[in-house]
Amino acid sequence: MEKAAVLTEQQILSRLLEGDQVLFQQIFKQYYGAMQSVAYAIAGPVIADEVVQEAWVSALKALPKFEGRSTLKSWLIRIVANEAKTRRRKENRSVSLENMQESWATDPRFAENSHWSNPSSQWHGDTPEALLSAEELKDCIEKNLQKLPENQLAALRLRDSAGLSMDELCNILEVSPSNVRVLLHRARDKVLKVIDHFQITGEC
Amino acid sequence: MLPSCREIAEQASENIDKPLTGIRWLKMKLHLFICVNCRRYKEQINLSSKVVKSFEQSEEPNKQLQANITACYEELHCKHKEKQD
Repeated sequence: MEKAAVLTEQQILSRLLEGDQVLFQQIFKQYYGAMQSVAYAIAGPVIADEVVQEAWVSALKALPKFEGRSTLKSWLIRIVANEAKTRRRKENRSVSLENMQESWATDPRFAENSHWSNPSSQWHGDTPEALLSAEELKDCIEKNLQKLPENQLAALRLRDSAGLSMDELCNILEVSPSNVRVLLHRARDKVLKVIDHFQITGEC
Repeated sequence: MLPSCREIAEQASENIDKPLTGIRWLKMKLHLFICVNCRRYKEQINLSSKVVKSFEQSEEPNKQLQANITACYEELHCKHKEKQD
């Protein structure tokens, strides 16, 4: 069986249009994580899979007209992002993901002169695999991610989980590049704090 | 003047998405050279980003979803073929 990874985008497209089911399954699995992350980030966990399904239906209908001006992945991501935004509106959830109000000026880890007063500890493990060998930590991070403000969680999932570019984040979240940077930093910093706490106490 | 630790913490995340250049890069390097806490923070924020990334790679699609989409692919392919014939 030929792997999708060894084919060019053009070959993948031709084979998909010819009805190559095996390849389709590979492509579906390959992009599922990224598409699900986008759907989850924008439309929420409950309807994320439904959004992915609707996006695939739209994508498959439009596939014969796809001209390959972008990569297949970014084309699929755009479709799922648009689908998720539409669903978000239908579900009467606020469309605006902007809310930059909270301040981290009062972060107790920093002294008044903005230097560290309470820095993070030395961690045991320098790879995700080493850190996540403690299964409870993964659950703990997931639980804490749910507590993040919606816009931070969306930015983190779109960027670090789905691997979207910064430009794509600005378009999807409808915020400026500097705001995207702030959202990402706060979200990653929260993950860091959760890991650090776990490293020190062994508890969530 | 060199940036504060708080500024370095923000730049460490920015640097993941778009590496700093020019004078900002140099000032960050100099700060990191003298500040062990920021060096550690920079490594840990990179690692935190990678941890989140590793979550996505382990996501397995729901079987029902996969079956629905595969059925849709077959159906659309048949329609597309009919049109061509």
